[in-house]
Amino acid sequence: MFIPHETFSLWLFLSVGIHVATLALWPLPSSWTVEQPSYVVVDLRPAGGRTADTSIIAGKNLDTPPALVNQTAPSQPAMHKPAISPAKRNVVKKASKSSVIPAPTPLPTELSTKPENSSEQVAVPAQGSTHEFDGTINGERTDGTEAASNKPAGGLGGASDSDNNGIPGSGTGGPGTGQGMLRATPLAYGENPPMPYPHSARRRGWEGEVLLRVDVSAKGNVIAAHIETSSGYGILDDTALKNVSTWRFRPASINGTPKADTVLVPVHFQLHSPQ
Amino acid sequence: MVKILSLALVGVLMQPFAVFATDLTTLEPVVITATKIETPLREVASSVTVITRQEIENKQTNSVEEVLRSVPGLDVVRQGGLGQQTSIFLRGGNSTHTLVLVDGIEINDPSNPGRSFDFASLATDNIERIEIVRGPGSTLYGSDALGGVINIITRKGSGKPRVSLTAEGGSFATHQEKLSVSGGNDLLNYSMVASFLESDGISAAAARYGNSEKDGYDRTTVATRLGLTPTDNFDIDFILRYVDSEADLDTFAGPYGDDPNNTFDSEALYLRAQARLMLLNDIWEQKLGFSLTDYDRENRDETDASHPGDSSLTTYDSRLYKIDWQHNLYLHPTNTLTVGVEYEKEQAQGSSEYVYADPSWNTNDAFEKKSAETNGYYIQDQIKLWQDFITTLGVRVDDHQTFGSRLTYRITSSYLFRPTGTRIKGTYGTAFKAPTLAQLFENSTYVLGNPDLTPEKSRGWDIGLEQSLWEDRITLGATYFENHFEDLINTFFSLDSFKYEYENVDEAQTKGIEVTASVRPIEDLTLSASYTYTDTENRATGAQLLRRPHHKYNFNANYRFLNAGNINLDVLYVGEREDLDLYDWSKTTSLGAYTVVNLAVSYEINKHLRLHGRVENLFDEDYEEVNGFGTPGIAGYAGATLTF
Repeated sequence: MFIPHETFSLWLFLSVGIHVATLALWPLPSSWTVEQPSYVVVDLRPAGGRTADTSIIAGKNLDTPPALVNQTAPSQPAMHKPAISPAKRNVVKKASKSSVIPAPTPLPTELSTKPENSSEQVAVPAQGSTHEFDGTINGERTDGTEAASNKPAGGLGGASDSDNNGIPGSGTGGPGTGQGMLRATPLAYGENPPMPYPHSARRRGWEGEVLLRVDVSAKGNVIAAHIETSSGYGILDDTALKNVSTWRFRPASINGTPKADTVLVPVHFQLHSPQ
Repeated sequence: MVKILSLALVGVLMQPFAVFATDLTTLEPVVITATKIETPLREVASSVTVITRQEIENKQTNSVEEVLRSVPGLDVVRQGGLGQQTSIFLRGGNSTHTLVLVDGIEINDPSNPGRSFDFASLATDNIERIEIVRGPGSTLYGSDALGGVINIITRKGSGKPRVSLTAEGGSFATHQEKLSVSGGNDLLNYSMVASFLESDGISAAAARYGNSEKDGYDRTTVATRLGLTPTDNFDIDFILRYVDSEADLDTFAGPYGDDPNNTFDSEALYLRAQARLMLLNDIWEQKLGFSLTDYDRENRDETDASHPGDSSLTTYDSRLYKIDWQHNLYLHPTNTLTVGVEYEKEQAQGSSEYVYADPSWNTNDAFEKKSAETNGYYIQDQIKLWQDFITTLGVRVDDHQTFGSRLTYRITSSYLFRPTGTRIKGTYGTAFKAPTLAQLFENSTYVLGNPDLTPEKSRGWDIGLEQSLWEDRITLGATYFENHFEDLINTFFSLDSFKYEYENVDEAQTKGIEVTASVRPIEDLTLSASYTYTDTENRATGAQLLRRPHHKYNFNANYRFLNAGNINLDVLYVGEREDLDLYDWSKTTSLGAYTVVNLAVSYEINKHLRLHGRVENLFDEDYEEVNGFGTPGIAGYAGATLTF
């Protein structure tokens, strides 16, 4: 059957559009994620939030990374605002460790310049900033590859060595270890919707623990969640995944500055006898 | 074509970037807890005692009868050592008034003249929990449940596959080996246990009369449960339990009771297939089940030095088929309706041959295969207003091919008085027991059955209080019960037939109090105690019913230490009771009270190895449960379990 040109183009256009829209919006399996680079911003400011200074150091635009006196103007890394849809979608890869800030010798005198006092060398959030870190360390853009990652959580003790990219407090010891580094934690139970025990699992007496790997943004939203270890029952895994993805977390932070984080969340389903 | 393009486009966009390994923190576990869903037939208001698998493990008991001894309102009587005939009396009722179920399979023996269940051969293998419901239970289960119902629930496998091997040995050359495999996932769950127990035993006829011949016992048990969960709303389960046991018996109690070659061989098979379907978004639940109970028993007594001319061979074979179809309608959070139908067919046959030195006494009887069918129809409604007010009303009709229909009903009610947290509960119900095949149809040398027998019947009620204190760490309970039995089947010697015959004449009454207390002062320590007072009366003679004590105390302390060890101390006191005189069965004598203390300790060395040991009858108490039959003195057992 002969189809006129105009009609055909129209249908082709519609078809492509529907396909792209469907594929873009269709819920993907939990293991599919999109990772995009993110940059860690380190703000060279003393702890304690001396806001007056922030404007000096950070400049007018709080989105720009702070300039260190002895560095050339850093290039501005693009801020990536990830498209956040609950669970299973585009992930902003977070650099879990922010890079260390070397001794801020060039900084104004109001700031403490004692390298050993690591707490004062830790990045301080720009006033009111809740955006994700853009990362520049020592004038170099970091994409998190170097670095950060494998240094011990010794805090910023290595500040005396300006070349040393010691990572502040990124230890696995849980929230609060290592110099003001806090991991992401779920908000108190009352604030996240309670997770239901799936009815058919309850009826059958199914119990188990599923380990989820959850990527949390600096705002405390779940960017992605995966099943790290199954409980043995698909319905318990799916329930945990779906529910945790809607949760709000207290975001990770380094000495107060929120940042994205990945944590493992064990979800334990258990039944007890009625009485 | 377009699709390929679109896919390609999406593929390009989805470039994964390297995730750089970081030290991941594992947060505190999020725990989601829920109550196990009760079946509506699990009576919340009735007097129920639940024995969990953990309790069985803490006490290290291998046989169900051992762990039942501490239950209030329940008396266990064993005619000798391990493996000898064991009877259970609930709330003073006869041992024939206890209905025993395994996952809904009725395991009372149809060939037994009283259709009672002999607990000698029931092992604790693969049991998840035991529910003892005291009081009339015919409304839900039909015949036999006058004193109450004992429901044994088989363990259901779950989680990663686990294999464990247990070996145990101890006094009286007793040893046991056990293998169990269990696991489960979305589609399949399984739990299988195979065990072998053997013991040289003690003399069944009491040693203090000069009997010394040990009466041994061996038992092989295979208990499995297999489940399929193909979809969200459909479950299929297969349950199989097979027991092969052999026990040495003594012919008589008292002096000269020993018999070195009197053996009782028993093979029992319990099978069930059931399917459960949930419809209408879990509002309508249907269960369809097929059960089979099969018994093959033989009692063989050869001639021996003490009985040179006497021998006998008796066989009993029986089968019970049951089809049951139950609907539960969860109409509303406050109301659940249950409707069910059951079809049951029991059949039995047997033979009995006695040879004596004087051949004029010889007998040779055959009990031709006889059967009886019963249809049961029942309906129950449960009204539940929060936890405050729960009432269950039930009615059942059983239609037996011989005696016709019998109606039973029951109402249970429970009310929570919130200001003090006190729960008041009560039950009133009626029950019946159908005459057994032997009672209806036997025609042998000495016994003549009566096809005109009507069912035994009872009505019973109880009222009780439950109180929790100190943030639920203390639980107290007290219940008063009363049962009236009528038309009890009695044996009398007829001068017309010169045989023993049956008639419905007896009347009996039982009443008493059950008091329970449980305290958990610290997390790992649980103390529990119970006291039961039972007063029984044969209305015709005014005498106490036999073998049921007035007083029974139990105390148990369980302490878990170092998160790996467990110590359990159990003290049982059974008061005086009446029993038949050894020489003159028309007279009764009083059996002394006794106290038995058991101590069990176990320790998990690591997650693969657990060691356990126990001492039974710690103070070597000398006592008799049945006049003239012996009981084990102090005994020790130890063993280990390997788990993979």
